[in-house]
Amino acid sequence: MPAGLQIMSGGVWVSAIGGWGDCEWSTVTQGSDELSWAMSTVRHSALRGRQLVTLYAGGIPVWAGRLNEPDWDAGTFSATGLWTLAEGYPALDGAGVVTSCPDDAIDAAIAKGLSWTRPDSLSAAAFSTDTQGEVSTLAELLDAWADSVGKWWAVNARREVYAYTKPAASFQHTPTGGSPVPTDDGFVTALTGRRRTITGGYATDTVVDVDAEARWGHKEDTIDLTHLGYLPAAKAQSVLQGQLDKGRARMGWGQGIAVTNHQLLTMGGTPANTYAAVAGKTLRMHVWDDSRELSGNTTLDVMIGRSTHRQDDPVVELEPFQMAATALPDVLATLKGTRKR
Amino acid sequence: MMTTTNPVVTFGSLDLYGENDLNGIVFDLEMIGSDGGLDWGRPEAVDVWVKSLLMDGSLVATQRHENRQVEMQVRIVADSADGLQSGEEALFLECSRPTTFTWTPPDETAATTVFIVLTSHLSPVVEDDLDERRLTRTYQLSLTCEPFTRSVDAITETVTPLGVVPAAAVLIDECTVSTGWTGSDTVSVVSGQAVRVTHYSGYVSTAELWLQRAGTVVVTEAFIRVKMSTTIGNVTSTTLSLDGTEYAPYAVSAGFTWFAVPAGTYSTMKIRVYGGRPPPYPGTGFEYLTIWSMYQTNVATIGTRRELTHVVDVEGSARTPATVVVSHASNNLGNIVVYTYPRALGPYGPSLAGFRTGGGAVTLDATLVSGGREPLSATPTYTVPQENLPQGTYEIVALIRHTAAGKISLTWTATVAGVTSTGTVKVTIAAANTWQVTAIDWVDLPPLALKSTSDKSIVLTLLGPADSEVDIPWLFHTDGSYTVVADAAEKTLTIVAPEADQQGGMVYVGDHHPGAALKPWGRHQFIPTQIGLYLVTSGTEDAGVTLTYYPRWFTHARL
Repeated sequence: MPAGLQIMSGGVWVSAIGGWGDCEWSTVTQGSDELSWAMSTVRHSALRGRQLVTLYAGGIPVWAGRLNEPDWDAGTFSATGLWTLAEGYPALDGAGVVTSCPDDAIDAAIAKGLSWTRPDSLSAAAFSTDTQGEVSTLAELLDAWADSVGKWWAVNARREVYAYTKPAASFQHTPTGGSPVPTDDGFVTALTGRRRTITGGYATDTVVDVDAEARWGHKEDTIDLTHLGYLPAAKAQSVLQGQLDKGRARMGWGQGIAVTNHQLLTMGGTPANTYAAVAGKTLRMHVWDDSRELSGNTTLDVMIGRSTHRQDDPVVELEPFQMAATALPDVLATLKGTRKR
Repeated sequence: MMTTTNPVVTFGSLDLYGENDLNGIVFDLEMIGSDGGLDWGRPEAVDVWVKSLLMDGSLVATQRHENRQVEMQVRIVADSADGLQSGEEALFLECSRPTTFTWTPPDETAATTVFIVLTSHLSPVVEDDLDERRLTRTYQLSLTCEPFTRSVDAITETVTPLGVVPAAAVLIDECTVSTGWTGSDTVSVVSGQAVRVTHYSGYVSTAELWLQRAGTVVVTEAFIRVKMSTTIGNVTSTTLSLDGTEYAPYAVSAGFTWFAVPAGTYSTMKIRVYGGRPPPYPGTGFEYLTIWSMYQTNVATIGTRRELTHVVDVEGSARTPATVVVSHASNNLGNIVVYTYPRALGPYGPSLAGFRTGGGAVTLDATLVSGGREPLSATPTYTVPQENLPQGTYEIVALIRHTAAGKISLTWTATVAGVTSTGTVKVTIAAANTWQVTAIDWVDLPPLALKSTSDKSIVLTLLGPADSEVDIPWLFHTDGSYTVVADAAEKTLTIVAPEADQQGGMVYVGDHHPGAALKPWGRHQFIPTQIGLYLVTSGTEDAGVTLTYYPRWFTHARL
């Protein structure tokens, strides 16, 4: 297991300020999610809220985000991942005009102070030809664009924003008994989207996953796409289809797994680096379960939706993507429509 | 007959077995042993229970240890109530803050043990209602201490570079025939290139193998260099015996092990390895020790004089943080890399330079760490035998430069048995045409699990854009830890171990903290009995290293 965790906050190594410990961090499909640690210290300018925080394992950054205002009395520090900052920026271009082009919106936000970098293009095309006065947030724009092309967008620990498709399995899970428990929370076979027409009116489109319907019967949900401005039918359908393809048309999961590197192996069969078992990577589970895939495979390749790591702990907790929302924050985020997808 | 003296016990500035005074008022303190419930406590082990593929039972691993709780009673004896009160006052002034508690057993050969007290508490104990009339008071003293004790004095180990120009190695044995070789088990020749001893062990937790060469050798150089490997996991000891006198390794790198030996004429040379393969790795039944060559050399590194490899003996029975000082008398150190790693990794060394088997044209340059540079666009290739890459997670790190600042893409591949794992990352070039130590990526090696008896090699490549060059690449096993300071315009680097009053530790170049030039900041653990040390100073040849640490013990110190 990699050792040598160090935190840098506001350009200063936290170890240079004082001793710290009890470090815990998590990742989601959009990148770093939460980080927390404890230390007793006097106030330091590098530990003020909003400072940029990066967690390193040796020389490799594993988590990046912004520090929340510390609780000095309790000596607890927490930070929130960089992807969440997208919710605080409207999708405007460099001239302040509403845009639906992901690259332009990201670059303008970076110019205004968003602490991301964009080494590669996500999309240089406008998502909507007429936003009709709607101003979506950067997060909403990126969510919709990513769904339409069947990808996830994320900000990695090097602060780079990028988009990815479900990767090939990089880890395998050796079963110690039992199988994953499917649940139909969040599962749908049909999605109906409400969108704006070119004249400013409204229209609805429906996409259906035929295989899922045949297997489990009809279950439907509605998605509001009106905040994106005018969308032609094909574009709206691509967003809905993307959501179905990314996993909503299959059973979700009711529980995660907690594994060490004895139960989590690389695809080469060697004990895995648990710090690298992060959300967005794919895990091969050696069970046969026909509640997923509907493809006749004898193994199940499931994308990790959330990983939780602790300092000095060989155990990593992994939740599959499409985990049912049971924790209150996740339920609230689902209702608000901001749940990590 | 053993001479004994009185035991000596101190708590902060107080003598717990003698006379003390506070502001001129005198009182005696006495630590009570057997009747007082003296308890040295113990480091509380934090064990992790891991479900395994075994049908029954679990695997246990001890992750670390938590603080120990030391309990004792202390009696104050004085001439007056004033004296009793002063004793209580003096005791409580030492409480509730970090301090030390020392214990010297009575035997004359006993060493003094220091308990590092993090905090302590006092509570009165009423033993006998006549105590006040006898001018005696008793207190329970509870000490919360660091898990392990330490010696009084720190040990300083100095590694002085030889400062000599490497001369041609002098052959001792090319190991192509087994004539003159005996071993702990069956001795054979492998592919006409190496002498091997093979031991069938079944599933065991320890194994010892040796190979001995009979034949007169006149040793004139400072070191004997052995190119060797073993499939014993978790090597705890490797020795070279010359006519019965054992020598521990001086340095290990790239499959070579150097032993510092006195000049002389010797008739037998014996290489011995000792180690064990801890569960859950299955025994394969066969364990090998293989020797490819033996040479005499005047330097203990295959690298240049800007690198230093050394094996450090660590006293004590528990791991300890250490302070590392790298220095040169007159030259600035440049880019500094300090890497420490457990010797249990065996014949592993971090530098890949010695395994280079392909790539573009190398431009020789004596000012560079490897002695040359080559374009990353021509895919430098390194072939490493599997015994030199113990299974685990590695960081790929390299000293690179590019003609322009900004982000560049680097791609690495690792191939064995037809399977390739690969990764592409973007790294930031801070300044144009400036060599920088760059952490590229993590890689789990080998890409496929290999039997310990496998003779396969792992082929590694790096690829970068045009106008990017590499000086030297490394694979740092993450069981060890490395610290890098970029472009240090100072002659010293000090990595201070965490202590009670500087709990995060500290790094200084010269007299100041390097700030953003420090990346990463490693956690250097010194684990008995030996650790490996690898040092790079790009700015100067022949930098020296001093390591200072307190040996740590379970409860009683030996030194």
